[in-house]
Amino acid sequence: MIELKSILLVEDNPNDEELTLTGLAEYNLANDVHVVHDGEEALDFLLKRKNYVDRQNGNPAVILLDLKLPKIDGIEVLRVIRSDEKLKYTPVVILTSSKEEKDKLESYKLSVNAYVVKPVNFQDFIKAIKEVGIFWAIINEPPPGCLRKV
Amino acid sequence: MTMYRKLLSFVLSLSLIPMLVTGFFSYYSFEKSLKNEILKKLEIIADLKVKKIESFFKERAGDAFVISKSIYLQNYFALITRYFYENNQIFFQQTREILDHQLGYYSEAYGYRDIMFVDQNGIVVYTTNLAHFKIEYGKHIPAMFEDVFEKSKTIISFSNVYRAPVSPQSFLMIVAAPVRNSQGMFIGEVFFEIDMKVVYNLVEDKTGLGKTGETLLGKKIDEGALFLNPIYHDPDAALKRIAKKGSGLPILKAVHGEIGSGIAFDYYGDEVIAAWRPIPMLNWGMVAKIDTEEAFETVYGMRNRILILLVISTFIVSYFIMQITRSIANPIVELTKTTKLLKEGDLSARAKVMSSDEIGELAKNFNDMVEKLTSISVSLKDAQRIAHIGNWEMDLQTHELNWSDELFKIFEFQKTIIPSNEIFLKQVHEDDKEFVKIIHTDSSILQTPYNIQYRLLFQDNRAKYVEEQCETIFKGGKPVRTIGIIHDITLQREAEHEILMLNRDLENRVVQRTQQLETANKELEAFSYSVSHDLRAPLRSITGFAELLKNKNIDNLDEKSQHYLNVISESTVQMGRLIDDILSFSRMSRTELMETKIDFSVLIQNVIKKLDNEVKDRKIIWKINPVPNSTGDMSMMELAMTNLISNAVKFTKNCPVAEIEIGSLNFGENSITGSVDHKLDNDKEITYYIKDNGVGFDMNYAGKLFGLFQRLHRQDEFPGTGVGLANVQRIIKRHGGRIWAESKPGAGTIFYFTLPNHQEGDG
Repeated sequence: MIELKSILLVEDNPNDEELTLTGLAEYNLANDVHVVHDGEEALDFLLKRKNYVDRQNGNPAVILLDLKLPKIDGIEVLRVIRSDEKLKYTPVVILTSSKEEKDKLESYKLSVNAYVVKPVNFQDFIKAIKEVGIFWAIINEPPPGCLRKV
Repeated sequence: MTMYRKLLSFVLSLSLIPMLVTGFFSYYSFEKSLKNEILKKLEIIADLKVKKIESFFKERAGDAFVISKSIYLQNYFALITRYFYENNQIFFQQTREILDHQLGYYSEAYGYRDIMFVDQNGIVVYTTNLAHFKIEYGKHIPAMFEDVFEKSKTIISFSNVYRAPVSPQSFLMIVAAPVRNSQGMFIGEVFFEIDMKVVYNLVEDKTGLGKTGETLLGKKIDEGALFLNPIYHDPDAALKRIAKKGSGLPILKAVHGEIGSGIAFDYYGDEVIAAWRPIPMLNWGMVAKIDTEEAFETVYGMRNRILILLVISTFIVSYFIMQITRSIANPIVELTKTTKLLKEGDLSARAKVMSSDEIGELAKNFNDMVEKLTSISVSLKDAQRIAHIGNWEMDLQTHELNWSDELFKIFEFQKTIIPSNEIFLKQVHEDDKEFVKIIHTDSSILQTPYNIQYRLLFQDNRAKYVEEQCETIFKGGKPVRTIGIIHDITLQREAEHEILMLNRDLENRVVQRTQQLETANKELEAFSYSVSHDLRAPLRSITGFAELLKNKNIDNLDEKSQHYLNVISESTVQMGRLIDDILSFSRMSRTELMETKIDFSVLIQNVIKKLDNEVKDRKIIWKINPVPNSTGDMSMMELAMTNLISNAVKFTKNCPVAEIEIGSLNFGENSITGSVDHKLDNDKEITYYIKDNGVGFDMNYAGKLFGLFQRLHRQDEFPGTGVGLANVQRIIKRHGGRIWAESKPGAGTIFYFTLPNHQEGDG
């Protein structure tokens, strides 16, 4: 049985995944992270389908969503989230390499909660991840129905 | 009536009428005088004849007087009377013989038929004519002599004419004279019997009278006039024929004592000229007459000759007049013929110049005029032929329709066809026929001008497009003519059609190209997207893990290893910057311009403020001149200005005191250094410049300045990606401007860029 964790990380690049988890680990947030590797899996997880049929109730406190994903891309995942009655208030932070105006616009149109460009520089990256993690997993009050690290 | 006939009749009447009138009058007066002369001549002859007759009878009376007065005769008269009464045969016979002897000569000499002695009792006592003697001797005179016997008792008198009892063809007369004895006593009378033949001979003498001349003697009787001599048409007329009263015959006038002459009708009904005279001595009348035909023969001959002469001269005169008239009229007739030919369309027709007079001049001028008109007409025809425009004209009074040559060509009709609306409609395309009919009918009723296009269709299924324009010409408010042109616009229509097809093709191609472009753009976008994502991710991994490695083994790493790891990190950062710049460059090309008003002074201030970080340790003298505003995409223009100003800052970093000047060129200036490489048009564009006193560059490499990834300085001198100026150029070009630079190594650089002067355009 899969346990619900407070952070859902949607990241197809294992290196980025590792670096992200490294960053989150500094504030002991790594264990609260569930990682899925493509858009389809992310939706399966959130909508409790396929492998996640038995997943416990509740939504993550925050979804860290990459845009460029295999199968179903981040924007599409976001769209499904925002159109689903149970999911639509879940905070979503886009974590991407893209600085494209278009991506930003699309994301904000779908009421994304934050848009973070992954800095190339490692220090900057770690710093960014840490701040995102702290803010969304700890400081921010998630909407009802979301799991929160106590 | 033609000119020739008019002229001819005019000249003919002018010349022939006087000639004929003169001829007639001169003939008339000539005839009159000739007739008068003939009448006068006739009167003279008549007078002569009267005189001859009178003198004959006077002689006879004289004879009778002389004899009756001679004593000899008186004696013998008395003797023979005595012997007769005494019946003394012997003496009687003797006396008689003597008398016969004497009187026989006498009788013979003067042509008496008989000389008789009648005694006072009216008894014939002696006669010279033996034949008479037997009958009359001793007897009383016949009753018809009683009158003359009685009358002659005192004076010599004449008896009536009488027929000889023995020969009825002879006509006789008695002249009786009284005989007296020596005592003067009436003892008897002497009768001289005159044979009228002598008188008739006198009368019948035709001298001066011609063939039909005749003289008539008449005696007045109760019924009118009795003819006394035999006449031509009636030899038995003497003493038998009577000219009755009221018949108007000239003899009646004569016996009534009238003297005269003139034209009359004779007893036979012929027209004659006659002279009538009385013979008072005998109480007779005489008429001398000639048939007018003969009398006036010379007159009539003359008349005929004159008539013939008149006819001949009329012909001759007419002939010459015709010649002259023709010579006058012919040039005009020729001219008229020429005008007719011209009217019928034979433009080669020219009038013959036949003389050098005014008519010749007229013909010459006319020809010149035709020449000019023809050349105009030919020009018009050529113009129509070249332009494929024909014209038509309709007279609204006569409804005569005329087409120009070109119109026949457009309709493809032979020129022999007579233009009409029906024929024209035959060539109109079935689908357009109704429309054309309606327009034509409307226009003919309302006199409205029109401009329509329709098709003609020919037998070989060829179609022509034509444009027709029509107008009505008014004169004094009344429509007199409709005129129109028909323009063959088939070629234009075909060209238009072709253009339409080409346009459609072009549009299709544009759509295709746009689609291709859109596809390419999409691909490029996907590429950029992939670059921004996929190129950055490995970089992050490199720098990230290099950093982790460094952090983890910081104490075990020697200085060199640390350096290596630093190089790896810096390189990846540099790589990241490159990727960012490329993406930004491609974004500049792709994103839409959002044009707004740009306050350049504010923009410049903002950019400089942003550069605070970089310039805080530098000594820079900013010279910011007032610049005009412009329009453009604010974020792009900001990027461009940032690039240019930060460049100026960057390339002056080695100057102890950097001088950076920003401004715009004044009206009419080409550049601040006087270079004329770039022609400026201040009406249409604003030129900004950014000037520094930095390292500058060799103008030989100016061409590379704005190329992507092109750099003119080494990385360790002046770091950069070589994307900045390429970006600037792209932005300026997208705004419709130009950018260029002037520089010299060590002497600084001036960047110029222009933007369209929208304000000027608006104003």
